Amino acid sequence: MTFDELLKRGVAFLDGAMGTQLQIKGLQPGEVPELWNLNRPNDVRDIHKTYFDAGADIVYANTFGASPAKYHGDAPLKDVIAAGIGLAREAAGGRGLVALDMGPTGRLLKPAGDFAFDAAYDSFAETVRLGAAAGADLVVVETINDAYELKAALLAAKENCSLPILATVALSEDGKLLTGGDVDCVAEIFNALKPAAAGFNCGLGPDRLRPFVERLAKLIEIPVIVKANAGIPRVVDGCTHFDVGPEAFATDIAACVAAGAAIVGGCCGTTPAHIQAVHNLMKDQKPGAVTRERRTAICSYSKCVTLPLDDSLLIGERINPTGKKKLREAYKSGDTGYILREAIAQVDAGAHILDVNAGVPGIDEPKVLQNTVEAIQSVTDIPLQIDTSDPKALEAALRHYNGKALVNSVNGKEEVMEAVFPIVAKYGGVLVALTLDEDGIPATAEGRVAIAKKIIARGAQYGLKPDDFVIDVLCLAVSADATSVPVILESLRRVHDELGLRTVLGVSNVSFGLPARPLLNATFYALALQAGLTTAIVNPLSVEMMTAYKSWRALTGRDANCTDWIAAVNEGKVGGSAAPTQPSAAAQTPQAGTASSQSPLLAAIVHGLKQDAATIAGGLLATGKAPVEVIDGEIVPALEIVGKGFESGKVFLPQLLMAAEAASSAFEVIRDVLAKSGAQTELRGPIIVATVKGDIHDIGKNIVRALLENYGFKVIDLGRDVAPELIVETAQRENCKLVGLSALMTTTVPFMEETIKQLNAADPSIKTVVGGAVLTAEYAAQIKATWYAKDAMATVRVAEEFFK
Amino acid sequence: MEVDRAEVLRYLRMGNVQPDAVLEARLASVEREVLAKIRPAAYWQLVPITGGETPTGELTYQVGPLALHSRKLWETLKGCRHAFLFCATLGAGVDALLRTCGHRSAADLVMVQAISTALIETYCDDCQIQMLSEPAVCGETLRMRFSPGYGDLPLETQRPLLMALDSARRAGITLMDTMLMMPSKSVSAIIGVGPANGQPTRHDCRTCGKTDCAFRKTEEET
Repeated sequence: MTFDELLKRGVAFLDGAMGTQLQIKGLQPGEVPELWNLNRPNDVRDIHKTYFDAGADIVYANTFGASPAKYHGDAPLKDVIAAGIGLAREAAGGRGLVALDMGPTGRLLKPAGDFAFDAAYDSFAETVRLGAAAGADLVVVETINDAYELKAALLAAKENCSLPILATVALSEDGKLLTGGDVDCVAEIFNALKPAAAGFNCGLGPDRLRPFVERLAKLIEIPVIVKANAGIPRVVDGCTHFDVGPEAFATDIAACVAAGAAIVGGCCGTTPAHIQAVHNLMKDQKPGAVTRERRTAICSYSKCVTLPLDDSLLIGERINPTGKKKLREAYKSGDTGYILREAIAQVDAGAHILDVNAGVPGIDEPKVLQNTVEAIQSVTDIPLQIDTSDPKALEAALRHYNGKALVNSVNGKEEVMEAVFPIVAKYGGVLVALTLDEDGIPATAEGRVAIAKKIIARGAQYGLKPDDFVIDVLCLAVSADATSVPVILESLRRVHDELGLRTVLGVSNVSFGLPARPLLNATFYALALQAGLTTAIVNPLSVEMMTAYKSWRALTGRDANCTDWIAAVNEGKVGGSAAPTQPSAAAQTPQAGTASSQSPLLAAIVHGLKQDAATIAGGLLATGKAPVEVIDGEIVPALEIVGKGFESGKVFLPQLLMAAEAASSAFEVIRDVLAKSGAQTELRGPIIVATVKGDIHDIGKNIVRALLENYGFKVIDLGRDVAPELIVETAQRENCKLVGLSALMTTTVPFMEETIKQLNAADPSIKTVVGGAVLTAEYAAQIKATWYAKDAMATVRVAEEFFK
Repeated sequence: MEVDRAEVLRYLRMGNVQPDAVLEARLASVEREVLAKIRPAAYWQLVPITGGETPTGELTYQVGPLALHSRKLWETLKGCRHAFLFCATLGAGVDALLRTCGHRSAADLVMVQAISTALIETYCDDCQIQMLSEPAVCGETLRMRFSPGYGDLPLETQRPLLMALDSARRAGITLMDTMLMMPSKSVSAIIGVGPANGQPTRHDCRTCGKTDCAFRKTEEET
């Protein structure tokens, strides 16, 4: 019987716990269970046989930990897996199917942990190849509690065998993965990567899993698996106990089947008696009928975003280098820090999705886009829109994206559809479809709707459904064509109302070439929202755009009790209610070590009042004070007060950092004013900072970077775990003469030494300053660093001296 | 869980200095953010202790599946026939918050770090109260939490300890190549169970051999 035939028959039965049974037969804690395939084959075969006897259709071979990443037995992995599959096959005696079982690697993937996605993929791929060669009927990926590892395992299984793949994740008691993904999120990852069946195992008992089974069944089109524990483990008198007996277990499993589960079995604590009871109760049953929820959703590793039809969401536009000089420079110099700050600022401003585009001429777009997507996902949990016209860059980014992404874009050109559809079909995603083709952009709404229909029909040939698309009817500048806006609005209305599809626009294009663009953009945005714009690519930091968006939602009954609107007004995020113009009372009160006669700006900085510092600095400039006077007379002395205070132990690290942030916000205001008048403020630097190769602990480095920046230095932050070669290459390319290196672990100091050696060899004029938990002045001298800095402030002092 | 503010200030190296109004407000807001991100999980197992000092003066003993030689740990286990193998974590959300703050605000970053460090210790203390109520403990006391890497217990003990607990599956705690745990706000430990005999039941800076520790409590703090 094949897997498909099995499912047609009705509910399919899996086996119960393997580990629990091995422990009963004498497996010791810390022992490698898979070695029993070679050393205790009769015991392993017997366990499988009792499960087949109990009614299991599929048993999982004893290969849970048989991956190169996890396995540490003394017999070759190949033999362990081959023996494992062989024993299950012998026990089956022609009765059922044998699955290669793959548990997690036991390692946490980057950026949460230290294990690279590609390394996890390679580990799973090796196990899949060995299992397929050994004759497994199915591949099972189970007990996964991280969305990224799930993706690595599923890709490895899909790309290295042609067997049906079953995938189950382990939920915590709150119904989430370890890394935070809930059932909606997990469902979208299953939808993206399309195993043959998917669901839950381990973690919880069947009673607790039932609501999650019910939810999942509504969200995925493949059969739902539930392989539950016999309750939640309790340790009593040093032994792990599972409380749910066979009959109660079977009753709860039956409830899961009624909720839509099609493949059922047991995990920790279950025995052949549990499977027998389930089989007795559910034999010849069919899974309960489920009404699938029609939706269009994307997700990150922990957050699922459903794209609405009757509301609208914001896609942050600021990580797109078109027309943005600073961002282009950041991409070229590898200054990921700048990009990450743009990402975080947009999330804090209320973006639901972030657009990520790395289209800078002369850079390696596939590599840079992939790295940027990974870096942004390390600091924010909202889903991303991967924005590129290069299919190679799209594939690299989509493969490494943690979740299911929005993809920007495909259009009606045959060549583009042929390149993009297979990638999205393989990795999953929701696709932005631009209504243009070989003949250009149609001048009419009919023409644009027709292209949308054509793209969707063509996508169907690749398995993509209409709900997998968001239609971009294209926003053209009103300055170039006075009739462009009515056509856009009509196109939106027709796509939304007649095709019943979601829409997207890059709103700000409309005002290109005209003055006072923010006002035009905002007015157009409101019109477009009312015409049926369900997602908009906008600048969430623009008060005008947020005002248009939030007022539209409030006025059209989408913001219940106008709660969101009122909150936005109070936070100064929408028009007419910008930040308070009066500094807060706290700025007026003196702090220990400062005199009450201080100017308000100096006091605000010393007290760490960021908003006040910016407001007061703006006020000083408005009353005609020269920028240089503000800097030299107020900001620099304020920083000096806190810096000295910190060095003498009167001011503490959080206060130093808050003061530096306040100074930085005042600087920012002055820089903006100077930029508008055409003058340039020169930052001192650049300084490269990096945590050395092998070390992923970057808290110290991040503090140093922030403080340097707040003190007015230009910093190129290369991140953590940075190879010496990259540091050398960047220093030479950017003509950077001061490099800051950080290390937490003793084991990574040799890489610090190596980096210094390579920097010296490349350019002896490059100086280094080092710091980190394990370093001392002696140690720093020994590895030939130019300076040792005991803390962040000391690094600032080194930089001040260096750039004097 | 309640945040132990005194501990937070100690990790911020502020000692007994109370924060001013501005820092107080920021601390309170970061505290709320951290509390919203934590998903504590713990797991423990009671195991027997066997072995001890050989006639030749060598120290070799078993704590469950772990073969150990640490003299400092052995001192805490005096009079104990059992010990808990223990692991606990605040979850991966704190690390995500630390990464975000690394690019949002260094001030927030150091506060998240201090607050979450205080919280994991509080959580471990809460777990120990639960462990005390287990029937097998039966009126005995728990000795101080002793973690791999402390004193003369090698950091490499992490691997067998976490494997014995099946920590990845039971609490979501994994080990990196550097032998540090991920999520980073996690604790692994061996905790002796025995009759009250004057042995310390918790860590005491005054008796700790690491005298150059930046977080060593002053006399007033202890």
